[in-house]
This record gives sequence, C-alpha cells and structure tokens, in this order.
Amino acid sequence: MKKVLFGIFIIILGISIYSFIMLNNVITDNNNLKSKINTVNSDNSNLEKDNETKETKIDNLKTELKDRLEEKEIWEKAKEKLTSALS
Amino acid sequence: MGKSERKTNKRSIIIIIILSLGILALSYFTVINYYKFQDETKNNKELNQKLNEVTNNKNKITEINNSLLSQIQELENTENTILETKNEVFKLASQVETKIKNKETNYKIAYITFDDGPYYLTDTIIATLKKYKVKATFFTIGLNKDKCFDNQKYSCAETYKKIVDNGHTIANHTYSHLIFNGLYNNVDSFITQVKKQEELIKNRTGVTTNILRFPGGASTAAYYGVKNGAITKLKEMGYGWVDWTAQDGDGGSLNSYDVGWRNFTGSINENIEVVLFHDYNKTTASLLPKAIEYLESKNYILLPLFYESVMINK
Repeated sequence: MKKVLFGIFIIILGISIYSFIMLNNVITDNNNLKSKINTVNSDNSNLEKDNETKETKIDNLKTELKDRLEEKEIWEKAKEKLTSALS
Repeated sequence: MGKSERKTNKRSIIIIIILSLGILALSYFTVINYYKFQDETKNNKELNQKLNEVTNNKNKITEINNSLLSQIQELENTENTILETKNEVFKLASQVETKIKNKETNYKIAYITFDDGPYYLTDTIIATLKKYKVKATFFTIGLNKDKCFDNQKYSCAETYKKIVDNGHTIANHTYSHLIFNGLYNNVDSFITQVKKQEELIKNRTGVTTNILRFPGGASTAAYYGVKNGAITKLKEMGYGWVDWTAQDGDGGSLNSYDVGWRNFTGSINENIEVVLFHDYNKTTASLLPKAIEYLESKNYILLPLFYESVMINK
C-alpha cells in the first residue's frame, strides 16, 4: 500500500513539476509577446507620427513646387506625343 | 499484537496519511496549474494573433512611410526630372524630325519663335504659352536689358530669367540688332554684338546659348558677304543659326488682326515649321492663342528650338 501510494505520489509530483515548468514557459512567452507588442505598437505610433510629418512635407512641397510640377507635366506630355509620333 | 508491531502500524498509517495528503496537495496544485496553463495558452494564442496584427500594421505603415519618402525624394528631384525629360524630348524630337523628313509619320512639328524681346508684352506672351502648355523660343536682344523700352514700369531684366524659368529656349539675336547702323559693317562688328548678347543672357539667366537668328535673317540678300563670313566664325564658336518658314508679318507695324491671321495661316504649309513672331507686337499677342490652337488642330507638336534640331543650321 505504502509503495503504491509512494509510486502515485512520485508520478503526481513529476506531473506537477512538469506542469509547473510548462506553465512558467507559457507565462514567460506571454510576457515576451506583451513586450514585443508594446515595442511594435510604439514603433507604429512613431511611424504614424513620421507619416503625418511626411504628408505635411509633401503638401508643402507640392504647394512650393506647383509651377515646377506643371512644368514637368508639360514636358512629359510632349514626350508622350513624340513617342506616339515615333510608333 | 505486540508493542513494536503496533508502533510499526502507527508509523505506516502516518506515512500513508502523509503520502495521501501529499498526493491530494500535488493533485490540487497540478489541477490549478492545468487551468492556469489553459488560460495562459489561450492568452498566448491571442497575444500571438495580436502580435501578427500589429506586425502587419507595422508593415503597412512602413510601406506607406517608404512610399511617402519616395514621393518626397521625387518632389525634391523635380528639377532633375524636368531636365532629364527635356533632354529626352529633344532626343525624341530629333528622331521625329527625321521621320517627318522621310514622310514616315503624319505628325508635324512647329517651333514658335519670338524675336527682338524682351518687351513688356513678353509677360503676356509667356502667360499665354503657359495657359496652352506650350514651349517656345525667344531670340533676345540687349536693347531692353534693364527697363522695358516700350513700358518703363516693367523690368525687362527679370523677363530674361522668366523665359528660362518657364522652360522656353532663350537664344541670341545680337545685342544691338542695328541692321542698318553698324551691325553688318564687318564680321567682327557682328560677332562683337553676338558675344555681348551671349554674355548678357548668361548674366541674366545662367544659360549659355548656342542658337542664333541673324537680325533680318541669314538668307536675305542684304549684307550677304558679311553674313557668310559671320557664319564661318559662328561655326567655330559652336553656334547654330535659324531663319523662319512661317510668320504673321508682324516685323513691321502689323496692327490688323485679320491681316496677321491671314499671313499666319497662309504661311503654314511645311511639315516642320519655324514660326516667326515678335514679342513687341500687340496683334501677335492677341492672335497667339488662336495660332496655337490652329497649329495643334493641324497635328503640329509645338516645341522650343534645340541645337540638335534639323532646323538649326550648323
């Protein structure tokens, strides 16, 4: 009886230790994931801010370069016409 | 039962109780661990999913970021792109000219040119060209180097730059243009006036021109000998020169729209035209929009002159 109980005890102890280790692994993994998510979220927030800055810069450049962009368009149209004349 | 036997039984019972309690405690601990494990595993899946979502989001934002960056670079490189496209246009135009000469295309090319400016009307002409998205060529003289000759309120000095900034070709028409007052006395007097105007253009715009139109034209009989000598000298200087094939007759005192229009339409009959206008003439300024529409309706591609064009004599 003692031996059987001792055997059961050892088995359950093993299972218990194993489940504890597994649980710890998942908890550690989850903490890592949370930390990664926080990092990526922070990256995203920075990127979004950067995008907003870039969009403003593009708007400003487009206003500044309005004439030059029109100029570019004229030359591109001339190029298109000449290309179709060659085809 | 002996005393020692009872003692052994007691100890066994205690051990069994301890083992049983231990088993119970461990079982409880294991069950708790199991449920926690289940929860954490579920959590783990959700966190992985969330990480995937935020990572995908990051990729999308990064993609937008890169696209914005390339847009900024593209905008910042606009000047270079314009220059590259302009050079490509001139290369293509050379090929189209060859096709036109060989009658291999229905397209035609017209080079609109303005002589004797800048004058105060040059601004109006530039505005019309801008409205119609057309580039032209301005054969400038030095008469209006500071204030405009015909309207002292205007600064013609700035107009040189405006011509270039608007993508038109700026060219040389000599500094003085005094056809009957010394320009064609001899080759040297002519070349002096060419160099003087070349320097003025360079100072005003930063552009060194190598395209010239002789005041009065190179092919006209007057001062033929001097012009021939000048041509030899111009070749040495790397210059090309061009006359014209069509005009509205505004070189004199054209002030009738109808006459100008008749002259203009009557002179358009070549597949490659160099149209002569003068940017001091109000009639020309007023018929220019219609002239552009007319040329475009006749399948002409309107371009500014460039050195490699077949129309430039070299």
